[in-house]
Order: sequence, then structure tokens, then C-alpha cells
Amino acid sequence: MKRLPLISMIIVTFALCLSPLTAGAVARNDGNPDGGALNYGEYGRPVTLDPITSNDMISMRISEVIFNGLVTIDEKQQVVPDLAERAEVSENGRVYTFYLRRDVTWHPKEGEEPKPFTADDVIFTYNIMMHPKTITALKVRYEFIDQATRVDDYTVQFTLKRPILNALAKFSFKIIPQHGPANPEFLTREDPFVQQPIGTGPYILRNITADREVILVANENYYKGRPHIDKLVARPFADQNIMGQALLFNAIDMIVLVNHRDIPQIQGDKRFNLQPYNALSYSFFGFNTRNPLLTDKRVRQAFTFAVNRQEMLDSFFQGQGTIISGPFAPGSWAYNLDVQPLSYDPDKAVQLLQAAGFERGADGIMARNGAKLTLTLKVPIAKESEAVKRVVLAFKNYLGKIGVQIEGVFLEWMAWKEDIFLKHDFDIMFASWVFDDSADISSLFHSAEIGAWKNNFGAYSNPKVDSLIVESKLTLDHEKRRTINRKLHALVADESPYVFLWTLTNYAAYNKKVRRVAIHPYKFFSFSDQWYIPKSEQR
Amino acid sequence: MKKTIVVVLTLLSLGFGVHAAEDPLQQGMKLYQKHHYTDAARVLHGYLAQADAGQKAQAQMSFGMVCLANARLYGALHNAATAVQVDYYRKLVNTAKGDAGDSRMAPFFLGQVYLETGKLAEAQHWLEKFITTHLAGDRLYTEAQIALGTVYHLQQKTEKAGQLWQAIEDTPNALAALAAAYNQAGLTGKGQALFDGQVRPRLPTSSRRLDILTVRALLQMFAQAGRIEQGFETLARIDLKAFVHEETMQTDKSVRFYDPALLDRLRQLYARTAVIYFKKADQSGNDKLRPAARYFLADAYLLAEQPADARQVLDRFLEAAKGPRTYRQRATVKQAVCDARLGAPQALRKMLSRVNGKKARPVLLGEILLECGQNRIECPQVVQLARTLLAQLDDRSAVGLTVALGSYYLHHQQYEPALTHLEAGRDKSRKNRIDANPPVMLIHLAQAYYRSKQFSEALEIYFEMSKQFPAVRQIQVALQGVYAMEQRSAGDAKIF
Repeated sequence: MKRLPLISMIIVTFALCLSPLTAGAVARNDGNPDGGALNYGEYGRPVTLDPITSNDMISMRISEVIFNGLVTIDEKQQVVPDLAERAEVSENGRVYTFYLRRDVTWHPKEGEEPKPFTADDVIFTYNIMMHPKTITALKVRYEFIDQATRVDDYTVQFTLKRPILNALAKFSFKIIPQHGPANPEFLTREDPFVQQPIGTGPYILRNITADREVILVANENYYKGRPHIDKLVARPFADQNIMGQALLFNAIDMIVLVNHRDIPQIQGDKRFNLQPYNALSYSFFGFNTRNPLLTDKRVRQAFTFAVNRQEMLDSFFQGQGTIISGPFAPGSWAYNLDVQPLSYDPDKAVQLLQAAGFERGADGIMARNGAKLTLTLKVPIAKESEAVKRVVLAFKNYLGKIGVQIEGVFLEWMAWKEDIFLKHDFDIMFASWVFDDSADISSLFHSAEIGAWKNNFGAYSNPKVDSLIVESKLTLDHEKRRTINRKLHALVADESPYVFLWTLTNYAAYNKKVRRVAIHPYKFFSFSDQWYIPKSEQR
Repeated sequence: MKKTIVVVLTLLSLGFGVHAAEDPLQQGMKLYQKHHYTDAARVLHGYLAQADAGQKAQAQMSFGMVCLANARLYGALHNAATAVQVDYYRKLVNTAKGDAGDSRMAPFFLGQVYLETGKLAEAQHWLEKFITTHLAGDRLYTEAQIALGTVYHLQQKTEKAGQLWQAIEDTPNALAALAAAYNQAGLTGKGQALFDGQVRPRLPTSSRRLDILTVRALLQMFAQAGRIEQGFETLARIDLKAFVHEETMQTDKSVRFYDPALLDRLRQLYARTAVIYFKKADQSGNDKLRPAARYFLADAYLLAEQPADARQVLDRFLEAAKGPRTYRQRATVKQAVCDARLGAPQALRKMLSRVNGKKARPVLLGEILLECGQNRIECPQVVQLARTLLAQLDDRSAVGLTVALGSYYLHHQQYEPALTHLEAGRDKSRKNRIDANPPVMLIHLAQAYYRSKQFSEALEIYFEMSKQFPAVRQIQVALQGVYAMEQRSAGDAKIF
């Protein structure tokens, strides 16, 4: 493949200055000790461990330490080189050329020599990610790429359909090895690779125990230098209270998401640090608009008017959060501050249902043309904390008062995901979204994202929303995109594809023996290769 | 802060006894304790006229406390707003492409913010740029002329200033802004004469809504003249979250501009009000109340930028030999700060050199750190003592000192330790709630998060705060603008 003339290419060039790496074990030169293990508690278990098929946070936290992207984002919001040592962008903003590091190897399979990371792996990752049969929510993010080309063993070139804002940051997607998946064409959750991933990152997956603990060990050959902590262990807990106790009794060293009830106790204990993160998240009840009873927005709005969100937040989460009005979190740059959350107004809810053609029957249930508003609410068992159970019960009670009958069904996490994302077998679902800083809600509400394993599970479709999402993606003007997102917020809030609930206070807690802890606000473990435990406190 | 509240409430109860549960005085002070200063001010302001003779002084003292808290709050908000708006407007002008999508108003607002922060050369550059590229005749053009006149005057270019000011149109809004500009330039007599002669008689007397720029000018003039009631009446005629101007460049592009000077004028109004009411409490004849009234009167003078008056009151406070020891120590620190602000920093330097490990008390160290932070005075030995002491204290008693140290670091632009200490002082069980965390501390924490580019954490704080203090909106909007341009994420969303 012909390389573009340098003069027209260089607008942005990074130069990565790392000390030359030698073969074999590589040590960091920051003077901090290696050794020790970090056991961290997760409320639930990862479904898959690869970065392509996974779409939950537990999985992402693990894949974050196993894999790398071409670029990454540092603590100062700067795009910095990762597997690519430098990048060049053409003057017209459409051609991105990445020059890859030559000192990166894949985690070795047992009994094998580590294989080198090359341009073939990058092209393979892109192709498999975009394959129609690959199960992933990532495709929508990379539709802007027209073509991926291998220039030579260590050079790849991406041609964009059009220039976009923050394009470079989007090349932070994680690279998987060509020799990884059993099926070289597309990736599904049945492929052994998704449970036994091979990456280039600071930690290597050693095994998953019978108790579903994920054991990760330090990659001695990590190109940035061996991470300090020998072993990361992700320990799943089915009960948040027990997880909190495990931290307090030193059975684990870190909790990625602290139970709200435990915050005062942990804050009062000098052994631990609490660090806020994940501000860009919210909980919601999502509607399946395939159900004809839920196609009218007045019906969906009625649900929001019917529930006293503030009372639920205060009663079940000790008020540790804030009520939201629409599809962006209040900590987001895209949140429309002019849009106020709908008030608690059950009378208004009844009026809206009546306006949509519903009348209360003799049994007290609202019905239209003989079809009763009796709906199934599906909740994942991993979310079956005491607080969530209460939310579900309260939701049911609030709606009962306006003549809507809710049947709550708790399902095991994977079964729930299949019902929601694959079979679309639900009327209402309860979940939470967490977003990175980009405020990209296209995968949630664009009609092109309706389908198996896609994020628009409720089949919500509105041409105006689609149009705003596309406009937002196409513009190269930050302020224009911001204005569009404000409109999008107002429109989606009015359309009510969800009952938007609240953003909760999210804290991670860790034992102070773990030092130099910087937590990525979304990906969590991005900087964990620099964490360390003093020798005297290793066990 | 909590200790301050306890002491004041104790002093108040000593002076006047306990009142019924629904007493507006108690209601107001409860709101004050919950840091709902706007509501507290409303309740107590309404009560002042009704309070009987026995309760008058207590009501005055309470209202003074609430106004002092409001003054501190708006001072902190003003600092936060100018910092983020400079960044935002600079980004707007720096990303201009020379087409119809560019903001034409950003230079004016950038110039205004620079004037607010005292950066006269930058203010001059942007205001001149705006005037030369903007068609004469509209309101913002007039405001730009007035502001540029102020810049020239402060740069000693009085002739150029005079030329600009002379050309100002004869409308109440423009003349109000001009009177305020005279005031800001130090021509207080001229400003007051213009205001009394040509502005006040022509102000609409109805309860009609006023625009933000006019209100800003009116607040400044009323505060300066001690016409507090008129200041509060003016305040009631605006929506504090309103923008000054919305510029629409294309169908899908608009930018909202706000006025950070409004926040400073609110600080002035509340500080002057606090001065008036502490004075009244001091002169009420109640001996038990007097020490507290004088102590906080000095604080109010400092916030009203009257350090000489603050110094005199502190002298009287200390001469009287009453009041808790801690407050006497803190008053000594404030005396030294007054001197430093009056151009005599020797006393403060001497005091800082005398602070040693044996005498180090958390409250005293905290006071020194707060004052040194606000006045940008380096005191490394006090910082070291505070850090040593913090390692020995339990979490509960360390909160005040931790927060003071965090604020000190923030003011000295050391954002990482600022974040660490302010976060350590935060009540995490009610993370962003102002009833659990002092608002000024939350503003400082949000600033530390902003400077550390953890924008969403900063926005979360302001979002919660805006429910009680709508003027926060201008910080939110500018911060969102900076965040939108600085974020570098790929566009991910996951279920959790």
C-alpha cells in the first residue's frame, strides 16, 4: 500500500518517548516496589472477558487491564499513544496513519512463545468488530471508518468516510490478536476466546476459579514495564452487604462500587479511602415499544408522573443521588439544564392514560379496547439488592394506584440479558447505564440500533431523534453539537422511552495499603499498572 | 464552619433564650445551619420588621450571619465563574474559523471577564476587538464602550476613558451602567451623583423584570450607598439563572453568555448588609451579643473590602477581652491580614514565623491557612505543621483543618493536594448535598475537580448546588462548554 506523501499527511504527530525495552522481564523505574495481590469485590460476575462482545461494566473493567488500544486517554484528558507509537492525520482529516510499536507481544499461551503484535492484528480487530454476525454494541461507534488498510507489518491506515470530532480518541478501541478467536470471521459469545482472552495489557488472565473468581497476573513483558502488583483478583459477590463486610474484615482490598449504606462506616474507618467516580450514569425503567400499549408517549409519560422518584431515592438510597430529567446524566456536558424532571402527579398520570384511550375496568385496571395495562417488568438478579427490590416493589405500587398492573420478574443476569437484548421478551426493564465523557446516546435511541444484542432494546424509533443524533455525529463544531444535544435531551425527555430515574452517588473504596491509586472515571483500572503496595504491607 | 455556627447559636441563646419551634428566627437559623442561605435570608429579612424589641438585636445578628454567609458564597462563586468563563470564552474565540458559525459576542464577554479579574491588557484587547468589529447601536456595544472606558481609566488613560464615556447614550440602562463604571473606576462621587440625578428618577417603579446588566449596575450602586432595601427589591426582580445574551449563529448553534460580575455585586450587597446589621447588633446594648457582633463585623468589612474598618473593629473586639479564646486567636490572625491588605505585611510574616508545633491548634492553623490562601500568601511552615497535625488527629476533628489546607492549596494552584484534602473533608454519605457540606467548600472542591479535568464531578456538585443557588447556572453552562471541547472519549455506554 502506498504511503501518502509526508507533506500532506502531517498535521498531528505524536512522538512517544519511552525507554527502549529489552527482551524478557521489564521493570519500571519509578522506585516503587513490585509484589502483593489486590483482591477487589464486584457485585456480580462478568459475562464475557473480551472487549468486543462485552457490554457490561464488570467485563469492561477486566478487559481494560488485559488489552490495549492504538491510543489511550490519560488522566489529563489527552489522547496519548498506546500500541501506536505515533499517528499522522491527513490535512483533510480523513486519513489516519498509525505507526505501531515493535516491542509489543501478546500474552503467551501456555507452552508457547509470545507472538509479536503487528498490523495484521489491528486489521483483524477492525474487521471482526464490524462483521455483521459479530455480537457487539461497538459497530455504531465505528461506522465513520470507510476502510482499514495494512501498509506494512507495523503501519496501518484508516480512511474515514468524513472527518469527525475527536476521531483520534475513537482509536482507543482494544486490539485483539488474530490468533485469538477460534472463528476468524466473526465473534460470538460462544467463541472460547471471550472466556480465555489474550491481550497485550499489563495483566494476563491466568484462570477463572470454580467460585468464578477471575485471577489476573502481572505481564512480565508489558511494554510499559511490568505492573507493580503481582496479582489482581476479581471476586464476585451476590450480596452487597457481604461485600462491604469483606472489605471491613480485610478479606478484600477494594470495592469498585460501594453500597450506599456502607459509605458512612467506610468513611469513618481510617484504613480506607473513598473515591468518587462514574458520575455519568443513571438508572431507568425502559419500555418495550413493540408492545402496542406502550407506543403512545402519553402512556409512557404517565408512568413517570405516577412514580414519586424523590421519595424512592430518599427512602431506598438515603437520598444519595439526584433525580434526572432526560437521557444525559447531570454531570454530562450535554445535560439540558432548562429541562426539569417531571413532577410526581398521579392525577396527571391518570389524565394522560385517559387521553390515550384507557379507562379503568371493574377490576381497577386500565384497559383500552379490551387490552389491559398488565405489564411484565424484568430485573436482573445481579441488581437484586435490597434497595432495587424496594424500588421494584414501590414502582409496582405506584402504578397500581393509577390502574397499571406490574408483574416483577427477577432473572439471572445472562438470562435477563437474553430476554432484553436478544429475544426482546419484556414490557418494562430496570437497569442503569454508564457513559464515558462523550455523551453519545446514539446506540440507545437511534432506530438503526434496533436488533439483536443492540442497545436500543426497546425498539424506540422517532425520525426527529434519529435526525438529531446523526446531526450531532456529523458536525465538526463543538458548540453546534452541544446545541443539538440540548434539543435531543428535551425531545427524548418528552418522548419518555424510559422512566428516567436518578443518578446515584458512586464511590470506590480501597485499603490505603494500595498506593498511587488513580481511578479512571469510566474504565476504572486504566492506570492500575502504576499502583503498588509497599513491601511491608504485601501479603 | 460548623464550630462557628455552634458558637453563634450559643451566643444567641445566651443573649435571648429559646423561642417557640415555629419562630421565624429559629426557622431562619435552621435554614442557615443547613446552608440554605437564600431561604434563610428571605425568612429573616421578612422577620426583621416584625421582631419585637426583645428580639430585634437577635434578629439583626442572625440576619447579619446569613448575609455574611451569602457574601462568602457569592465571592467564591465569582472566583469559580470567572475562572471557567475565561477558559470557555477563550476556547470560543480560539476555535473561530472566520465563517458564519463563529461567535461575534465572545470577544465582548471575554473582555468583560478579564476586566472582572483585573487583567486589564487582555480586557482592553478583547473589548477593542469587539468594538471595532461590532455595529454600533445595540446594548452590548454600549456596555463594551463603558467597560473599555473603565479599563482605560484603570490604566491611567483618563482622556481616552472620558471620550468613550461621554459618548454613552442617555438611557436609564446605559447611565446605570456608566454610574457603576465610575464607581468601579474609583470615581464614587461622580458615579453616585449620576445615579441619583439621572438614573434613579427614571427607573421603572413597577415590579417589572429587569435585565441582568442593569441589575448588576443597580446592585453595585445600592450596595455602595448602603441602600440595602432597594438592593433586595432589585434582586427580587431578576431570575438569577438568566443569561445576558443568547447568540444564534446557525439553525442548530447557539451560545449563551452570562455575567460573572453579577456574582460579585451580590457579594458586595450581602457584605454591606452584613456590616449594617452587625453594627446594629453591636450597638443594641446587649453585652453578651457584642463580642460576636464585633468579631463577625470585622469579617463583613473584610468581605466588603474595607480592611481599615475591619482592623478597627478587631482592635475593639480584642480590647474588650471577651469572647472565646479560639475566636480571640483567630481575630489576631485577621488583624495581621488586615495589615497585610493595607500594605503592611510585617505583622503577618512575624506571626507566621512564630507559629510552632507546640502552640499549633487546628482552629488557629486552619484560620491562618484560610486567610493565607485567600490572600495568596505563602506559608510553607504552617502547611507543614498542619500536615503533621492532621496525621495525629482523628477524622472528625481533622475536617476543618483538612478543608482549610485544601483551600490553601487551591488558591495556590496546587490542584492535586487541593483535591485530596477537600475530598477528605467532604461528607461522602451525602456527597453533593449542601446541608451536609458547606457550600464554599463544595465550590472549592468543584474548582479542584475542574482544574484536574474531572469535569463530571465538578458539574455534579454544581447541579445539586443550583437547586438552592440558581446563580450557579452560569458556571454550569460555561463548564459544560469547556467539558464538551476538552473531552476525548470514544463514545461508549454500558449497562451496569
